[in-house]
Amino acid sequence: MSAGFQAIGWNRKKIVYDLVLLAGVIAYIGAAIVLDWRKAPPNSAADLCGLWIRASGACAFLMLTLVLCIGPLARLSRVFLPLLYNRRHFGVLTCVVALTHFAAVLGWYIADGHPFNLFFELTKWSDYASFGTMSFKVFGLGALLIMLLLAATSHDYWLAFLTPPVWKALHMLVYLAFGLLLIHVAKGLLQDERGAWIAAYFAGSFALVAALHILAGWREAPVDKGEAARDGWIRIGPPSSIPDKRARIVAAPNGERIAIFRDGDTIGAVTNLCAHQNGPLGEGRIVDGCIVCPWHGYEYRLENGCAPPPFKEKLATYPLRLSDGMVEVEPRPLPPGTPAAIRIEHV
Amino acid sequence: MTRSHRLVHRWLWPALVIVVAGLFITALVTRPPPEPAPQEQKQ
Repeated sequence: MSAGFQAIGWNRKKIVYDLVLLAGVIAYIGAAIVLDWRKAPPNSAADLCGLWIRASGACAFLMLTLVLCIGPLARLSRVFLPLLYNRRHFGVLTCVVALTHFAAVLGWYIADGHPFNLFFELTKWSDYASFGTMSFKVFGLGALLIMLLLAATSHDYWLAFLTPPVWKALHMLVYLAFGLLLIHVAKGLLQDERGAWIAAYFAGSFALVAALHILAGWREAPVDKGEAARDGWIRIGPPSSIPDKRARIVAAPNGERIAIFRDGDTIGAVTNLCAHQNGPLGEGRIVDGCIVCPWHGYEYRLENGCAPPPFKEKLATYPLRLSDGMVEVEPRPLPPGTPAAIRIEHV
Repeated sequence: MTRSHRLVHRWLWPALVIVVAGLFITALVTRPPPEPAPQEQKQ
């Protein structure tokens, strides 16, 4: 939870997550350099830069592949939710590795004695006439610029400043960066590396990410059609049909989702969108009377959708009623923080 | 995620797959033939 600006809200979970990531990156790049070194020992400073270019490039591609798998995997199974908790640090570290890749490219040009050749290559405008003549470096640079923009705006300050829907839309540019990266590899590395397995590895990585996103997206499509309201109310079912400390998710006729939670004999309905990152609140649970978001642990009181002090986030709530022993929700959001929970006598 | 984000996700990925796969295949199909090994050059 957040109250005001804080550089990074470190906790044990985040430190462990980051240390594991860092160890993985060091091990991967180290192993790649050792293997490459054995195959062709470097004879010059340019060769050394080449070693780092290949190792860091492969590492950044793998990292981006993994980062992009986390989201849909967490949608498909709760087992992967812990990976989502600190995904932004994973993304920022990916950008740092990609930056070292770019720095090594600059180092290679300097060691080769032609420090401005990269600039000349990228500004040879006639090459942009067709895809075939475009330099592979343009695609890599495009991906790097997107990753830099996303890393720079990854902090909660920007999330609050831009609002979650705009921030989320901006950060969807990472998919474009991934596509650009694949073209960068196809027009660069794969022009010389002719082995079928290496092309299959890169294409397969992209296919895996795409398949997971498409699968997660289409699996949820039926829910978005929305429930039909009768007399302006959506019937949920008897109170016992809502698991204790958990929620049932229904979609309003406009497709936006509502989470109906039950905490013993109290039932409350709030928007399914967490005020932090629009995480799926309805997949969270109730702890000590508060709804806890499954993504980053933001908390909201069930009765009014307000975060407990000193936090100030508020959720839109929805009117509820009990009709013929059935819980019904009116799919018309109330102003955020409006008390709307109801008490029932028998569950 | 809001409904519009989910909707964009649902349509963006198939479109991205088509475009990226097309460019990926083009890049591989149009790559120049490999340079002959030094031994072959002598012959």
